[in-house]
Amino acid sequence: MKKRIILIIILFIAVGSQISAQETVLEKRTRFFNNYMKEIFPDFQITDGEYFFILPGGCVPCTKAALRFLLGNTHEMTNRFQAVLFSQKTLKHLSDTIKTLHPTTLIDTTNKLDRMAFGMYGIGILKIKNQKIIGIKNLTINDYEQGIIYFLNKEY
Amino acid sequence: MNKMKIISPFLFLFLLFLSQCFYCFSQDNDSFADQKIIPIDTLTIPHEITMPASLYSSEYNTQINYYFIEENDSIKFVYCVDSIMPTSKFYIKEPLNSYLAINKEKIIVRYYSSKDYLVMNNQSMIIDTLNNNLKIGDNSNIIISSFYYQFPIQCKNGEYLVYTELFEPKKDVIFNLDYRKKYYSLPPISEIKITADDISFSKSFGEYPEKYRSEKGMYMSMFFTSINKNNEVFISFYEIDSFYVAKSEKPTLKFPFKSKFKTSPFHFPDSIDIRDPYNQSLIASENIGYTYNFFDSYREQYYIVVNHPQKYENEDGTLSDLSRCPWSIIVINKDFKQVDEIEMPKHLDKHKIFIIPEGIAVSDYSLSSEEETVFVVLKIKQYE
Repeated sequence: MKKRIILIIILFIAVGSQISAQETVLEKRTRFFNNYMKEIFPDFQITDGEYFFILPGGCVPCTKAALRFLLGNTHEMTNRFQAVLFSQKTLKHLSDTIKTLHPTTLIDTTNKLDRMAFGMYGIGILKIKNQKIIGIKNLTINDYEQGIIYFLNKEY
Repeated sequence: MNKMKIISPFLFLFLLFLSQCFYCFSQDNDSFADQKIIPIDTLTIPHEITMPASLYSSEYNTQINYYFIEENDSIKFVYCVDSIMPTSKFYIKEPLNSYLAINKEKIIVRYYSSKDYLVMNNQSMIIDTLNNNLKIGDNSNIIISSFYYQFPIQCKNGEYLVYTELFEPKKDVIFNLDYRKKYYSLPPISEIKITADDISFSKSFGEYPEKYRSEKGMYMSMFFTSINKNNEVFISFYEIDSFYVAKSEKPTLKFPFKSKFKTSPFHFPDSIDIRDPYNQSLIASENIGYTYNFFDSYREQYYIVVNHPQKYENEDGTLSDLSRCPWSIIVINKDFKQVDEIEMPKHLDKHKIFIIPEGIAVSDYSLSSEEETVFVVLKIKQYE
């Protein structure tokens, strides 16, 4: 009887670890993202589409130049994205005008966003479908050299 | 039963041993356990400081320290001789493109609003404009990168020589292997000559590691410098287990060293895109990295700061703070031999280190705030 119980426990652990090992990177990011949104923006309903993030790091001059361009094309931003997200701390470093990038601007006053493992740095975009992240892209120097529109249209 | 009686004391001793081991590990290196460095004092700068540097100066034949502070709503550059307390202060009125800390009486600034190199005295007055002859061959499109790492300045026959990296402002080529092969075949250290009237490129020396020119080294570029009393530039590289000693018109000498915490070579998985900045941070976090180096002119030895690996992504979905990773200091003696490695307490800030006569002053996170930076002075022995 004892042996049987031990065997069942071992099997249970083995199956459990298999299940957790099967979580893909995007699934893990989805889990992080959903938990984060629930905690910081509990009233926000996540819908399918693309989300634009302004985070620390990455190519800072590229970020600044890209934002200058996008601020002159808010129509494009509104049509393309579900929301723009950044932290209160980012506002300290960038102009207040980034609040006007999109009608749905989510500002994280706790600054936790800047420490989240969403796989993004600097300017990043998340694509969501059926409540799951299906793509992540970051603005790199190479992207920036080819133009911000190139980056926005670049495949995930 | 008898057997049990015999085993029990051993079992007890074994458990005691285990608990001791657990206790040692649980100390999480937050104290000065190994006694190789002894806290002897604290020093307080009544400001938050940024961009610190600590270098040997041939002009004063001692250590100089400098940093930036925000004081009365303005930015000031603080220059200190033999101390971390200000010897002189310079008011910086505009965002800086680059700067050169010449001595306690003057600095050279280049604001974003102008291409001129301006000489500022310690009354914060612009006293001169230097002719900008900073060009290599016909190429005058080169810049000094002041904010990348501390760069040594030496005074020689009334002229100043700055040892720094000069480069063309090209952004798109860092991941182009052909460009990298060409660029990283050039010497890394450029000697800039500053006279009373002009600033000009003089010559280059030193070399980059072979890895910088390979596919595997595509993301590598970070190196750190200090200078000793013989005008030899000590260069260490973030990922490489060697430091170089370069001197103008002399062959570059290479010396091996390695952190005792490094159990595997610097590694990045082939499966990830190294051009992605997120992945670059992940690689930096999960590998041992060698950062700032210092020449301690009082004890005639060198220190290399070592970042220890830490998991980048935590289970709760947050990222580890790269600046708070565990760290140590490798000590290199005057003969360029690795002589020790000292594990540093986690509450000390590896980004704010100064060398002073009494020892090494390291900022303490737990004592510092936005209003003041508190340094713990650590006594360190002079190694043979």
